[in-house]
Amino acid sequence: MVFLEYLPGNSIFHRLDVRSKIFWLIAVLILSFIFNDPLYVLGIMGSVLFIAFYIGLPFNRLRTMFQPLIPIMICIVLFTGFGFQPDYFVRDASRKVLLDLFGLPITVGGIMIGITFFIRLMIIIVSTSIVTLTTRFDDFIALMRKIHFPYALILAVSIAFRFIPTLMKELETVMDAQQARGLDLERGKFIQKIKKRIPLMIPMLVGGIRHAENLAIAILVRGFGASKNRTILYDISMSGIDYVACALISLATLIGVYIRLIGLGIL
Amino acid sequence: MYITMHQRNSNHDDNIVEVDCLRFRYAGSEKFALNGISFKIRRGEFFTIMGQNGAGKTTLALCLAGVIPHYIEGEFEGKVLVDGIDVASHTIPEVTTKLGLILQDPEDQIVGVTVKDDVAFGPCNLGLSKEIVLERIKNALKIVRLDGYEDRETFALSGGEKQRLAIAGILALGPNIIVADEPTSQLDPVGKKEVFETLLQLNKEGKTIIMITHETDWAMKYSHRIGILSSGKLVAIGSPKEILSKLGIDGLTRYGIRPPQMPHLFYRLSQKGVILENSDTWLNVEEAAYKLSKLIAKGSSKDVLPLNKYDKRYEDKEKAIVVEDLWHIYPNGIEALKGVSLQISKGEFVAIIGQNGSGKTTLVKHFNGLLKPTRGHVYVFGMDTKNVTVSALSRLVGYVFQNPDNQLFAPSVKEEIAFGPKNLGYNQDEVEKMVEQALDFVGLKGLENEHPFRLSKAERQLVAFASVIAMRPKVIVVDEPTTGQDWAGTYKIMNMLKKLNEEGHTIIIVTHDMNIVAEYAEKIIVMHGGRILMEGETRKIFYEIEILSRAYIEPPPIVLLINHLEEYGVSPGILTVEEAATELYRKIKGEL
Repeated sequence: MVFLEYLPGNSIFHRLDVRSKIFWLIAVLILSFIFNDPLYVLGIMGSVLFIAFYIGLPFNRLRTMFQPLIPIMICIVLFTGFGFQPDYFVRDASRKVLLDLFGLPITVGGIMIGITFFIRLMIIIVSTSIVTLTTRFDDFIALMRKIHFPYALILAVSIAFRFIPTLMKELETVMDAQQARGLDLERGKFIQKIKKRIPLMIPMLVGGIRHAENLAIAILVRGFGASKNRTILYDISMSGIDYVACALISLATLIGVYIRLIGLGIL
Repeated sequence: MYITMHQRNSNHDDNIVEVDCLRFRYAGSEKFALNGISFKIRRGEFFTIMGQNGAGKTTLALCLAGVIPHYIEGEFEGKVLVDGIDVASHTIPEVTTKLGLILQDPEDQIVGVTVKDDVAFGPCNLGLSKEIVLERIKNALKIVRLDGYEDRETFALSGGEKQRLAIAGILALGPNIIVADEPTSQLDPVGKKEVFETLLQLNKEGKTIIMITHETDWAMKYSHRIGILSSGKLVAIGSPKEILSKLGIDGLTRYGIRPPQMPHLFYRLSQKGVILENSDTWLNVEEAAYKLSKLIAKGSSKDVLPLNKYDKRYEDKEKAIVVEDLWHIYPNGIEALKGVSLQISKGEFVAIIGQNGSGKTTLVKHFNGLLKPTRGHVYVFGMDTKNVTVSALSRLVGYVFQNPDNQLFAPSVKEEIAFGPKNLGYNQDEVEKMVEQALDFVGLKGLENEHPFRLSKAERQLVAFASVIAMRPKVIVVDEPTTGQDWAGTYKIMNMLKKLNEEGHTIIIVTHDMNIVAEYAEKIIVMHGGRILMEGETRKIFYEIEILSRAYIEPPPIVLLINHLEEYGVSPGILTVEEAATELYRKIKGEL
């Protein structure tokens, strides 16, 4: 799962504080949402891709995430084509009706907005991947502590994360065990297929409870709650490059907002 | 690593653990899990607790760590003193700095994503300074020999490494006493050795160790004292020698403890009238061989067991499973099998052995189509598994998984067992008959309407087992039939497999338990590094001690003993205590 992995590296982006990275992520999202002209959004996408190449993002793994989304994306482009009346658009070129299907006009602007949606979705996936791939899990935990999450919650998140591979392996075993008893997961109609998940879900659920019970004991005997002031072993800190980066990101965002305010970048 | 047993002359008043009239009953339970237990453990002692599943061993460990009565509810009476503090009147975190508890399943004790994070959890909870925490992490990892692993991700560790990490996590809290509840039961022989050696090392460095285990030989060899629990009572306590002479082999068996092989052999010989001095002490193989060799006439004629009969017996039989040049490469690129070829005839009882990662499980998962060959072919009764689905193959090959909890899902035992036959498309009447017979076979009649989750672990294992045999597969594959089972449970399942085998089923077990292999399997397939290292009759293979050691396999002590005695004319090929007793009696009697 590309979202949960850490891509070791020593790029500037890796070295940025997690807060700077999240600030960058928010800025990218704001910019890609205030414009609806695909050209402008494409420009933002270009800058995101530049960083993606720079950190060496594993694109082949991203593809496996994209593939199931492709039909949905095509639908989005088609539906938005219908979704907007000509007078929604500012520019004359966008108001042009390509085809009128019984009072539902397909406008040039509608198709363009569809394309914008498509690019925005890609931006969201790639930019979040960039942040998660370049940030250690510890940094996220430290961030949660910085914004005063209760420790019990932080521990829960941390354990959940640590248990993902364990539970995946367990699911595999459960699937094997039930298939060995003749459960055919491939065949059957939709409803049957859902019913066939029950023999998988229940052992997983019961297993989860068993893990939780044992973990509770394991955590207690390791002194959970012994001291109100837990030792902080690892902390995050903003350094020089963070301030420079944040200034640049702010500047870029302000310029973007200004461009939008003077009426550019909309259809 | 070998620590000689020695009686300690230390001051008897220096008791680090004192348990007095301890009774505990879980909330909602009628029976007392612990029913009046009193004992003392000396500082620096290596103390082992043994007993059947359900005897109260884990409950006792939880009481020592303060989890009972502070976290688990129930009726608690008596007193537990740990390194000078009364557990009942101190909080769990206060107890943890005195006594650390290691649990059975290493998986459930790891909270950190990386090794360092995980060890840090305890000392950080205590609020120690950053420098001290880092120092403790370093020391703890060094003791369990995981130094250099700091930044490794915990999920990628082996079982033995995970359990050592759990020990490090406890050590970092700085306790003087370590309680380990069956720390090796989920591990392979290599992992077992790692964990046992780590505990021994800690004991050498002054820690008091209290360990719960089913490994009799190990316990007898290394413990200063052993305590035996049965039905919530401490029925025996003393040095291994005292335990053996007090209980004898029959006593051990009565309390569900697998007797160590050397004393067991001496006991059987004494029953036959061969009296050996000190026959009630635990002995290692060399000592036993030395004693016996003195009794056996030197240079007496060598009888050779008819070894070649076996291979002929199955020569003309129908082949249940044929594997031809099987390669399996996982999507992550790991070559788990590298050209395996084998044949298993109908009616054979085969054991597949080898360390973790040798390809055993990958191999047997091909037998019922859960995995398909990357290259090569697997034929089940002549059918190429490439062209058949898992559910179609499940008619022919049953597969019992290690952990019953990975498959139980139905609200009653009956429905659980009916799941397989129903999937195969049998009608209502047939299904009921099949369920009935399976229940009868495993001896769970009368429990058919119980909820599987309300049964004990051993019973759940039987339900899982019944749910597979109800489908009447011709071949039954059992993955680790003995993990997490006590001696009695192990033998119950193994005897059922034997019975099925006698009825004509082909049985394939994957196991680390060499005693079981020696007693039940006719044929062994030794896997090593994705290839078959050796294959053949158990009587032959187990005496290839050199080659087996390459796959980190050690045959049972009785085989090693007979191997030592070969130069005195004892014929190899012996696998069990009974066989050895008969053969040695014959040899010794010739001399007497």
